[in-house]
Parts: sequence; structure tokens; C-alpha cells
Amino acid sequence: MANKMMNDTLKRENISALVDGELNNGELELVLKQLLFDKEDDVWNTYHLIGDVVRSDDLAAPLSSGFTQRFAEKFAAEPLLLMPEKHVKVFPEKSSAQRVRQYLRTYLTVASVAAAAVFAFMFGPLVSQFGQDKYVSTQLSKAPVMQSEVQLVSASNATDNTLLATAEDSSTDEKVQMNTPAKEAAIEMMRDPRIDSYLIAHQRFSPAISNAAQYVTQANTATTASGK
Amino acid sequence: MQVNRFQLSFLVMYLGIGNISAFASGPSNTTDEKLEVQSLIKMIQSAPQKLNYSGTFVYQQASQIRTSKITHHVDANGELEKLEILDGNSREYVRKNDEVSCYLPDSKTVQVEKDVTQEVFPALLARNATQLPDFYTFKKGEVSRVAGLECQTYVMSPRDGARYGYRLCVEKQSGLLLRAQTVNNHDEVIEQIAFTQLKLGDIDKNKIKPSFQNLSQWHIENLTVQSNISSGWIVKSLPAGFVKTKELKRVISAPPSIPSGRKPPNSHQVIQMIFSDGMAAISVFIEPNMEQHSEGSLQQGAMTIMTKRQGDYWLTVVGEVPANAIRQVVNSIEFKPK
Repeated sequence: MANKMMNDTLKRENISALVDGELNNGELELVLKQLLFDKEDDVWNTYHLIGDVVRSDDLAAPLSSGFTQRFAEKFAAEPLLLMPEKHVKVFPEKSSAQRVRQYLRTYLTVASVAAAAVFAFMFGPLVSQFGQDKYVSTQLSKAPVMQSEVQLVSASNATDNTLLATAEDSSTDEKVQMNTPAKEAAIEMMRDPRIDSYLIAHQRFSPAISNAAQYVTQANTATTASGK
Repeated sequence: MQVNRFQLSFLVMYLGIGNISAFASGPSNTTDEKLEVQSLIKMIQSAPQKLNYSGTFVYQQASQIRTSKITHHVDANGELEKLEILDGNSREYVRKNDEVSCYLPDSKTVQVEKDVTQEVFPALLARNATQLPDFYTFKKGEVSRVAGLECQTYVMSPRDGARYGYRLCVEKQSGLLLRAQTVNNHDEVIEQIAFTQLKLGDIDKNKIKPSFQNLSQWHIENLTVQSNISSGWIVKSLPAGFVKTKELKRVISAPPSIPSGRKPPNSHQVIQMIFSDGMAAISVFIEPNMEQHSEGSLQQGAMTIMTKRQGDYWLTVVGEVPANAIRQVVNSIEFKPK
């Protein structure tokens, strides 16, 4: 019994790591197979929902019906994109700032597949910020897209498209609708109380962004989920 | 292939927004109208400085609201103003001309800011407001009523996509701003601030005194390190019309509410640059990248905030302008010491 609980915990930690894009290729395949076998996609959806709510209450909305199915169909119709290995190694070591980028990269894949226009508008400039000079910046802005592309394409060979679609949809559907200017930047949200200090420094009577109940230092599903 | 589509769609979206704003700008004003606009600007700007008033106003930003009480008194010694934040953690600001003391009873702290130029409602216009007609068209709207007082509506429409539009309601007798609504390019109100109660004319000067008189147990924090600096940081590509109104070195204090069991982040020094087009303001904060932060952006009502690591520095840009303007600023910050 205890053993099963431990197994479940480990499994959920794996799913959480998958949500955050922290698995290597070997682990990825294993966890995806396990997900498919155990029909754990509700756990996967829940973790995404947690991540979304951590970013903003506005994202706490259920998916429209049949979204997963529609996404899977569109994804299956996409051409395969193959990349030479050497383009993949852009970031040699893994810092926590990179984990955030990795997070973005996960979303970028969906963007390129399902909602190129909307996502590109919102993420394009963010991604291209990462370099110091122009050259690096161009290189990096391409690299994250390519890298996650390779990862997901290889995954879809090994497993099932529907699963991958499920993987992303909890965040996608809500965000695709956000193409009004009022909401265009509502994507990568930070519920960090430190932000409030800057807001007050900018304007004395500014309403707060965060409150104590939603205190998180980093919008990381892994910590939120395991702390549950 | 993917990248091309990515960039193309960005371009398409960008052009789309450009078209909308071009449509909004309309024909240019005649000289007579311009003169009238200038006197309107002067009135909205000077009324809150020369009048005595006390009132309560509500600030609504997306789903958040905040109520504040303001008391303003002016005499030969200058301006005296008290701003009490009535929602959330208790805060009280007392301003003597350009020095602001913030009383935080929960932590028994007084935070002092010197040489303050940021405006507080109903004094929304910055010192460079005379240039506003270059970036907004002005149109007289309907007569309305706010907080029991009659007011004239004026519609400010942006001439480009780097700023929002405004609907201002100005009290007919005094010229005091009673309500300001921020409007996006779909003509939707995304943020508003309005008096719910207002008393014009003589006020009891005792009401402006800080509510906290015995400060022996309190600790005093000076937030202004240096009020006029030239740090060498520049914003290379500012949205049209935005000029630097201030550059200072200041303290960013620790967040007001931290749940127990967590070590509160310390207060730290940053460089703050403030840019304004006369109406909207953008603040740029620059500091050494010491703590763990996450990069990203967030929007609440008209307010957009973006954060970014740049080399060894951490950049935070906040402003009541559309996300594309904030992005333009955050992407063009450079260190160019003379």
C-alpha cells in the first residue's frame, strides 16, 4: 500500500517534471508511455491548470469541449520537421532562469503548431530578448522553437498524438482566445509579491497584483503540485 | 519554415494594430481648437494644485478595485496632501510639496520619498502635458455627473498604438478632474478612477496631519537615495512622445505582505527612470541581478509590467501603456556611460 503511494508520488513528480520540460529524452519517452498506459491525463491537465491559475485567475477556465480532439487533428496534419543535432545544444548548463525559458519553449511548440499567429505575436518578442547582441539574439530566437519541435516530434513517433495534444491544451485553448489587445500580454504571468513593490514605486495607489494566498517565488508547477 | 511563419504572423498582427490606430487619429486640429485644448490642459493640470478639497475615489484596474481618501490643502507654504489607502494593508501618504512620507502601521515603518514628481489623481497630467495634442486628439463629449457634481467629458484618442485613449470628466466650475477612464482601441474601458464623494472648498487642516503621531517605536526608511542622477543607462527606442521626466536611485522596499514561514525578500537599491507623454507614464527599474526572478510579462487593466534579465542586470518596466510600447522599451535599454 505504502509502496503504491510512493509509486504514485514518483509518477506524479515525473508528470510534473514533464509539464515543466525538465525531462531528458530517455525519461521523456518512459514517462509518456506511462502516462498513456495509466490514463493519467487528468493529472496532466490538473497540473497545467495549477500552473495557469498560479499565473492568473483569468486563466482558471475549463477547455472548450472537443478541444483536445481538434488539437490532435491539427497536430497530426502538421508536417514533420527534422533538425540537425548541432542546433539543439544552445544552452550548455541548466540554471533556473533556463527552466523558465524551457517552460516558454514548451508553449512555443504549441504556438507553432496550433496557433501560430496569436502566439507568435505574444511570444516572439519575448523569446528574441534573450541574447545580448543581435547575432546571438537571432540564433536563440530560432533555437528554442527548433529544440522543442524535435523533442515533440520524436515523442509523437513513440506514442500517441492525442496524448501530446492533451499535454498542452489546458493552457492553449484559453490563451488562443486572448488576441484582444487588452489581454495580449496576459500569458506569462508572475504572481510574485515583489512585483507589487515596483508597482507602488511606479504609482502610489496602484492595486496589488498578488496576495498572500497566492505567494509563489517562481511559477513552477513542480513545487506547487508536490506541495499539495 | 516554422520560424518564418512565426515572424510573418507577428508582422501581420503588428500591421493590424498600426491600422487601427491610424484610423483612430482622424484629421488634425485647427489652430483655434489647439488653443482651446491647451487651456483645457492647463486647467486640468492646475486645478488640483490650487484648490482645497477632500474626497474619496475608487481606482478600478481589471478585476481589482482600490479605494483611497484624499485631502488636499494649499496655502502660502505650498501644498499639503493626505492620501489614505482604505483597502488591503493600511497605508497613509502625507505629501508636503514634493516630499512624501508613507506610514505603514502594520510594520511600524515610515518611508520617506524626496523630490517626488509622480502625480496622484486628480492631478494626472505631468509637467510636459502641453505636448499632449501632438499624441492625442481631443474631442468634447457629453455632460455627465460624477459624485453628485456636473462635469464635462473630453475624449482623448491616441494618434498611434503606443498609448491608450482616455475619457476625462472635468468639474464645470473648478476644472477639477472627477473621473478618468482608460480606453483601449476597441473603445472598452479597461481602467478607471473616479471620485465617489468630493467636497470642494475649505477643509479642516487638522485632517491632513498624519494619523500616527507617536513614532517612537517606528522605524524610518529613506526611499530616495539620490534624486537626480545620470546613471548612463538609456532607452534607445522610446515610443513617440515619451520623454524622461526623472532619473533617480531609490530603494525598492520589501513587499508589504509575506505569509509566515517564508523569508521576506530584502529591500534593495535600484535605478528608476520615469518617462511620460504628459498623460501616461512608464517606469524603468534597473538593478544588479542578485535574486532568482522569473522573466515574463503581466497585464492588469491598463498596467503592463515586463521583466527581463540583461547580462548581470535585472530590468523591470511598468506603465499604463499597451504591451507593445512596454516591449519596445524593455528591448532597447542599454548602458552607455559618457
